[in-house]
Formats: sequence, structure tokens, C-alpha cells
Amino acid sequence: MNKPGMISKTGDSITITWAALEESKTNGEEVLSYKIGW
Amino acid sequence: MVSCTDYYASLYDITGLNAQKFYNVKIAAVNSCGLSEYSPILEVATTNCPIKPQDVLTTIDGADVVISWAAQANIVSWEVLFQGKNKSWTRISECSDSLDLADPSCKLSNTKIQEETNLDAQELIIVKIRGSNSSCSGPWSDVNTGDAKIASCPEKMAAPFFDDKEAQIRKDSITINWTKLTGV
Repeated sequence: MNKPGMISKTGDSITITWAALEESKTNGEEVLSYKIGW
Repeated sequence: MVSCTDYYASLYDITGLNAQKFYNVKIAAVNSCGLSEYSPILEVATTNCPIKPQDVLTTIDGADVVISWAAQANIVSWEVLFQGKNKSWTRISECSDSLDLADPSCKLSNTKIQEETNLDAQELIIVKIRGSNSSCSGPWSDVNTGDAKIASCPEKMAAPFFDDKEAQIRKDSITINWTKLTGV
């Protein structure tokens, strides 16, 4: 996936956004969820 | 690390972080085949927020209630909420507008609080407060500080009476007596 973007941040939270994975990059299988790490 | 199981989502709030810290955020997609490679890292620093308000005090001043708390640096606004009878929180305009940021307090009538919160007589007035600076809002203060309560209304009085009916009833006026209520 592409790098996520930041929408807003506070002292104790960050709101991120991302572009959906293109169908050509899913090997024909539907995306079920996303895993976000920090 | 969390899983965002709504695959239609494209937005996520990462919460419970520490102020003024750097975080590296990355994302991967999951399908029936497994996990994709993680994205490049997004570097983000959280902001510096106000601290939890201290010394929150509610006191009675005649027919009014005074709410005061300790000032903090760089505050641009304070938010004061009152707990209603149904436990929901409500804002009262007298404690929202034109607060002195350097010496924060607000004063409003006991009656106004009763009207806005629907609390019964002698119920404790519960408030919570938080400050905001140009970056973010701080945490809410502890609740239930101070001991101000909703004032009790006077009970129903006995009927007025005459001590000397003949003397107190005149052609164009009357004089009445009543039994004084205690504690008024």
C-alpha cells in the first residue's frame, strides 16, 4: 500500500487516512481488513 | 498495532498516544491470502496539550454558585460542563462565554443551574472542565469537586391570618399576619 496520510493530530491521537488498494494489487481477492501499526 | 476490520474505511483514529512524541505509522491490507507488505512509514509528532485542570471548586455565594479552577499557560478557551439529572453533560452559556483565561472562574445563579440540569433540591452540583490551546484540547478534570448543592425551595406556607380581625380589616385596606418560615 501507499504511505498513509495524516488528517489531524492532538496531544493523544492521530487520525490517518489511506487510499484503497487498487484491484490490480489484490490478486483478485477482496480486501477484508487493514492492519495499522505504529 | 490494530486491525481495522471495516474494509470500506479509509480513516482511522489512533488514540491513547502520548503528547509531544514521534510516531511511525504504517498500514497493510489483509485478504484471504494474508497480509500485504507494509506501506512506507508516515512520521507524525503528537502535539502539546493542556494538562488536566486542577483545583476545580464549586462554592455557594448567596443565591449564586461560583466555579473556579487553576489557570494554565497558553489556554485559548475553557469548556465547563454540568452533569444533569439523567447523567448527561450540558453546557451553560454563563460558563462558556467571556471567561477570564488568566483567572478562570464563572458565576451563575443556583436557579439557572437547576433549570439547565433538572437536578433536585440538595443534589450535588457536578462539573467537569477542560482547556484547549491552539493545538488541541486537554483531558477533562476530575468530576465531583466542591460541595455546592442545588438550593431548596421554601415549603408551602400556612394560610395568612389576623391577630385582631376587627382592627386589621378596614374600609379600604387589610393587614395580615403569617407564620415565619425557619431557615429563610
